[in-house]
Amino acid sequence: MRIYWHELKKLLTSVAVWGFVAACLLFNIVIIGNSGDKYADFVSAVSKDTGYILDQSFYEKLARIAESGKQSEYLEQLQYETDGVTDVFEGYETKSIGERYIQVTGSTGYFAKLMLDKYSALQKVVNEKAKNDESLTLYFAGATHYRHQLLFSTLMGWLLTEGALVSGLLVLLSVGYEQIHGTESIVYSTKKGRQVLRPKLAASVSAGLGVFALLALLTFLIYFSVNEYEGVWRSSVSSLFNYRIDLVTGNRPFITWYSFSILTYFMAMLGMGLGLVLCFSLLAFGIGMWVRNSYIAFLVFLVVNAVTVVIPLQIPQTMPVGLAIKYFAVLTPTLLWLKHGIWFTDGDIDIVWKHFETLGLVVSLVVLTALCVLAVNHFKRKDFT
Amino acid sequence: MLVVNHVTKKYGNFTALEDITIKFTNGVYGLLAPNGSGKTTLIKMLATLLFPTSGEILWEGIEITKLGEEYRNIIGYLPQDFGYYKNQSPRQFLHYLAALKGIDRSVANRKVTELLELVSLSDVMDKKMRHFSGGMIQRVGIAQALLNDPKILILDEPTAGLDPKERVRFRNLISEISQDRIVILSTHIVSDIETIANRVIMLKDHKLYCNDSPSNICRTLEGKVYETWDIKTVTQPYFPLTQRQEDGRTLVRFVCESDCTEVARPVTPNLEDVFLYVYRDEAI
Repeated sequence: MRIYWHELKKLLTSVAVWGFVAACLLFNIVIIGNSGDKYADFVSAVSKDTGYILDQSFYEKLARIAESGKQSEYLEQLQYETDGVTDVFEGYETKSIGERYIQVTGSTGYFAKLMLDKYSALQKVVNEKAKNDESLTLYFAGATHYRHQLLFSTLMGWLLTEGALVSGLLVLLSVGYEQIHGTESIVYSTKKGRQVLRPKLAASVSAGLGVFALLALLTFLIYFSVNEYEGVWRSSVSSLFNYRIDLVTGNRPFITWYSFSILTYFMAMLGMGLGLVLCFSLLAFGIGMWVRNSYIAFLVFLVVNAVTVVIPLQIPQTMPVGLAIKYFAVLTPTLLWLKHGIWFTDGDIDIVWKHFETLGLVVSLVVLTALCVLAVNHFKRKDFT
Repeated sequence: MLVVNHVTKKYGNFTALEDITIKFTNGVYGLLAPNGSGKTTLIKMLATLLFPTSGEILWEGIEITKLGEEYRNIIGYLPQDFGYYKNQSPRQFLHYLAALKGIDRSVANRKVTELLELVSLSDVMDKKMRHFSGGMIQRVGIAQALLNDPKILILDEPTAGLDPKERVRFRNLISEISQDRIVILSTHIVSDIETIANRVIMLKDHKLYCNDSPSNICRTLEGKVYETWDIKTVTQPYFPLTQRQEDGRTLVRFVCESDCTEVARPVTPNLEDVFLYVYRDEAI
């Protein structure tokens, strides 16, 4: 444990790390600064009185609200948007989505079956959502799509990018620390020297996760202090006002496998984000073990991630192997990161797996942990010339 | 006892060390050879940083790679290029290494202070090492090597950067602590080991050249080392060793395989003479 604290201290006293964190935070503040939406704030404020469920009580309470000036325009807009809305899941069928994806990709056999199975399973979820009137919640009414994308796609996306980069940097800094300072011979010849990678990994992973958590905390503290969410936290993310843009099937409802409120979806995204940052840490560790120079290792880390995205695009998907690579590539950390905007949903044309984000996270963690164990074992017999 | 048993180390086609066999018991061993002769390779193998391509290194009869932690627990090592954390103080740095050496925190507190006093760094023990001189850094290195009170102390070029006073202090320290441990001191500075080494190990062409006491090694040149003020009078083939200026004249020390007593004064050979003569074909 003492070694762990020493390793952690080495990382947290790095000026470069804190400089990077400050730059990330500044960047996030710029995004937040340009994100204001008065109408969305108005909807959230109103929902404190009306509630977020679009039932009889909501309409009665909304009718009693009187506003003046700009607020009255917002009220009018809200009344217009909520007037006569119906449950989008009532009678909604998902089979055609799967069929359309299969048609476009030319997928056959096992993967086509997986795709059909996924949408068959999703139909049951949709039926359940219809039964529970899950879509009849307010969210941010007409501002929903913008606010949802801003928080869960733009801001969360950048935060994940920053988390992946900073965790990768921290791991590579930790693994390469002795090489940078010329202390390899001293450190690795000590009693615990050949085991030092374990506390190094633990320290750098916890530092990476800690920095990600700190960045998230500060970013969201600022975000939620300038964007009003108080009245809508429990509104469903599968609200009828929320939708996703799908170039293959057209815009369609935002269907999650489980019923998520904005709050639970936010927490789930953060949890998944932490898991993904852990994956990037393990990937960086594996690379750092094979490439001694930290700077080159970081370059390799970036290249490996880029290659994960490029390879599935370059292989012709008219061949079954091309499709297989595309579908399995989705389970890698980089593709999971790219698809963060549709986590916990059925996914898109590239995804045949149910709960792809959870499956991808588990697969990535298992594979990367195995890679790290191999690297640690290799390190025990490594020559330091 | 530490035994290097028919050890060979190869890097691809290059053989850095070939079939080395040495037995180490308590005392000071001077590993004397020019740069590039395989000294550091041997030292690194003893410090478990390199693994032999063939052969084995045994501590008390057990291979050191099998002993792992147990073996590393009894070694103290000062590498040739001693790295350190510039933004840490010697105390912080030694505490980190104490943790790596598995030394209990309370013992480490005492030991770190003691050792920094021993190497005359007590007044700067909390100052960042960023502004330390080469000699001060080297003393930090010596202190860290002694942290775990090692049974095997491996020092690669330990006096590099030390001033003459520090060098003498270091030699005295090594003499003091070598009674109940193995001290392996690698250097190409002959004076470092001449007075303190019980045995001198010399490597030549990546093989073991000799492993003997300094006096026996010097004896190999007995009757062959001479000094003269006028080297031009020496007609037999000779190998010049050193030159000394005195009163505007040059005193030349040289080795000659044949008798030169008529033109030069025979002198007692020292380790430096042997070193220069043995490695006469190599860059030193």
